[in-house]
This record gives sequence, structure tokens and C-alpha cells, in this order.
Amino acid sequence: MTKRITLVANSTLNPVTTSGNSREFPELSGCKRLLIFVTVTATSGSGQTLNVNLEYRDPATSQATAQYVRVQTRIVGINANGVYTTGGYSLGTVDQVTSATALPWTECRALTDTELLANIVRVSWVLAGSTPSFTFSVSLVGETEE
Amino acid sequence: MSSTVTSTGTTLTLQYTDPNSKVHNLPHPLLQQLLPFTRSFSAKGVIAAPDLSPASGSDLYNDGAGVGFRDTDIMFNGRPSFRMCPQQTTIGLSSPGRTANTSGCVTKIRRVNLVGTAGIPSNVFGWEQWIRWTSNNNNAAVFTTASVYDRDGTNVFIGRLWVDTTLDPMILKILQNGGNYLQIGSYNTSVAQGTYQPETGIADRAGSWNYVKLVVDMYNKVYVSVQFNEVFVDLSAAGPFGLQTLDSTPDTGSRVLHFSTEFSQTNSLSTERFINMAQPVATFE
Repeated sequence: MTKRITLVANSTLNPVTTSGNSREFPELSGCKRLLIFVTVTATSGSGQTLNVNLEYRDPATSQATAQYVRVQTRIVGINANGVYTTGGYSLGTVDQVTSATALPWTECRALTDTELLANIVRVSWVLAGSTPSFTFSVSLVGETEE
Repeated sequence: MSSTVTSTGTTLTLQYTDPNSKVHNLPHPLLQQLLPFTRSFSAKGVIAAPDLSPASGSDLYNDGAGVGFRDTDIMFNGRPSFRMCPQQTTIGLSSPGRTANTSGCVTKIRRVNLVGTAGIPSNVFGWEQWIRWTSNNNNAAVFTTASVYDRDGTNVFIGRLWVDTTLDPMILKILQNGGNYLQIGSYNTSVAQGTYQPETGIADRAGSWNYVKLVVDMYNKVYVSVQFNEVFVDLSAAGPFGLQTLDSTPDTGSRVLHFSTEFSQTNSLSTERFINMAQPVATFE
């Protein structure tokens, strides 16, 4: 039976002003495919940028000294304030959001059967610029197949 | 076997004697067929037996700040287990406390059953599982508990078994009414054996699994029994500790019967501490 697991790595409840990361999601260890949705609804600052990354943890490391790597994902589609761009499933990273990005902005990316999903996954976000603030959500939809 | 003669005939009842020489009626048909991995044969029926085999998962859920998930690395009897890992979360207590501490891992299922009712088929509930203290360092600064609790809208009534792994032999304790823990036994084994910790190159997948069962009476709000592996502790009025009342404190939370296993730590190390539970079964007794 196929099952989809929805996990929220960050919600739009509060604006984010510093770089950070989600908790780890070992719940995805049984999944073969993954969809990632990133939605940005508001931003402020000067020259501010936001980069969202998918990270895998080396299982031989943990806790405060855990080592993560950032991985590519496949573009599925973008909705920039009603302007739709369909993706071609090519590998890459989540688009950088800047002060010039049309909001609300949503990007959907995927890991397909071609890629290997790690046991321990998390999401990180990197903010740059002067007094950056972004209100954004990141949600993960994993799919099992058994 | 016992017999009861009435005006309409004679009723024969199959019985078994537990390790404490206490006689229990065996239900008919023999429901233990539904409990393939149990060490207990007194259950009247199964309330829930979350199956971790399918990747589609179960309703077993971690309500704490740590992580809890279906674990296909650590298998039990050919099936996935459920891992509880506080990661870097900690609690600042010297005991597991009186209620489930969501600063650690609180793995539970819930079934609605009003507290204080003489339910059908029973108001006595069991919570059994197999537990493996999987990682290193579970012999210090950790709390492992199994609980059955319910609320009536005003108070919470909690039965809790604490397996204190920080001592060798391990110590079994129950939460008494008022918040103190009473030692009800010990068990001559240690968690520091057959561990699994990839960070240190240890990958023992066999481990050491322990059977844990707590039985409480939610009508009379008292403990009934505890079993840890082959050791059975009678907590009835006739047992060595006399009648033990469940703990209760004011609590207006959800009025539902919880079957819960908790794992937390008081400090965070450079490598994770975690345990696995397997084949959890909630029963009528």
C-alpha cells in the first residue's frame, strides 16, 4: 500500500530572521520518493536573500557534531504570484528568493526513484543581506511503496 | 480447570497459573492467538496491536520533542521496530515525574474509554511490548517508562512502570499516588550489552530484548500487576506490596485512555541515546 507522509519543516507562523534548520525527519526513512514545497509569503530587509537546502546526515555522526551534506533535487514547478513555470525534472537546488521575487512564491521540487533518499533528512535555510526577514514554509511529502 | 454448577448445567473454565501461583481464567476461544509474541496469557482481548510491518505505518505516534519513527534498521522477529531518540532534548528531573514528559519521547496510542466505568469486556487494561536499550550510554541519565493513563475531565489517573536502567541490576518501580516511586523488584541484567551505535562502529542488530507489561484497573484506579521478562509482580491486595492506588493529579486534558511508552534523558551526549520498542499490544485483562 502506498502512503504519503506530510511533514512541515517550517511554517509561516513567524517570520524568520536568521539562518537555521528544521529538526531531522527519520520518519522519511521508509520513503522512496519525496516532494518538497517551499512557499514564501513576505519579506523585508535590504538586499535580502533566502536559500533553502535539503540535507542528508552521515549516520556515523550525530548530535552537536553531526555532519550534513546538501543535495540536489529535481524542479517540478514554480508559481510566482500567479506566473506559472513548469519544471522539467532537471537536477538543481531551490531557487534563491530575493527582494525582487514576486510573492507569494512557491517552488515544488522532487526526489524520484532515480535518487536515493537518506535515512536522516532535514531542511536548512540560509539568510543573507541587511536585516533579512522571510515568512516562509517548507513542507515535505514522502511516498512509500510496499 | 474450574467448574460452576447452576440449575441450567455445569460450566467448565480453563485456567492457568501465573509465575506468582495466581490462577487466571483463560477466555474461550483462546485469544492469545492474537498475541503472537506475548509472554502473557491472561488477556481477555486485544484493544490495539499496532503493526509496524507495512511502510504505511500505524497510529503509534511520538508526542514528544524527540524523534520516534518506524525503524527498519533494528528489526524484531522479522518486523520493523519503533525507535525513540531524544536527540539533544533533555529534561531537568531526577525521576520520570508524574505525567508524560513531552520534552523527551512519548510514544502512544489512544483509545476512548471512560475512566471509572466498569467496561465491557473489562475495565482492566494491559500495555505490553518488547524493549531494547539499543544505543550505548543508557545506563546513566535516562528514564524509561511504560504508562497507562486516562482523564475524567478533572483529574488524570496514571499507572506507570519505571525500569531504572541506571542501576545494575535494573530496578523496577511504580508511580504511587502522590508522585513517589515504589521499588517493586529488580532484574539482574544490564543495558550495556549488545548495543548498536553507528557513530562508534558498533552494529549489533540482535540486541537484548526485554518483555515489559503493565496492567492497571481503571475502574478501581489501582495497579494489578507488572511483568518484566519472566518476573511477575502481583500488585493486588493479596500481593507483597498490598493494594497500590494509581497516581492522580488535577488535569483537564483529553479524556481518553492512553497506552504510552516514554524515554527521555537528563543530559545530551556527543552520540545519540536511543531505544527501540516492538510488538506493542494494548489489552483487556
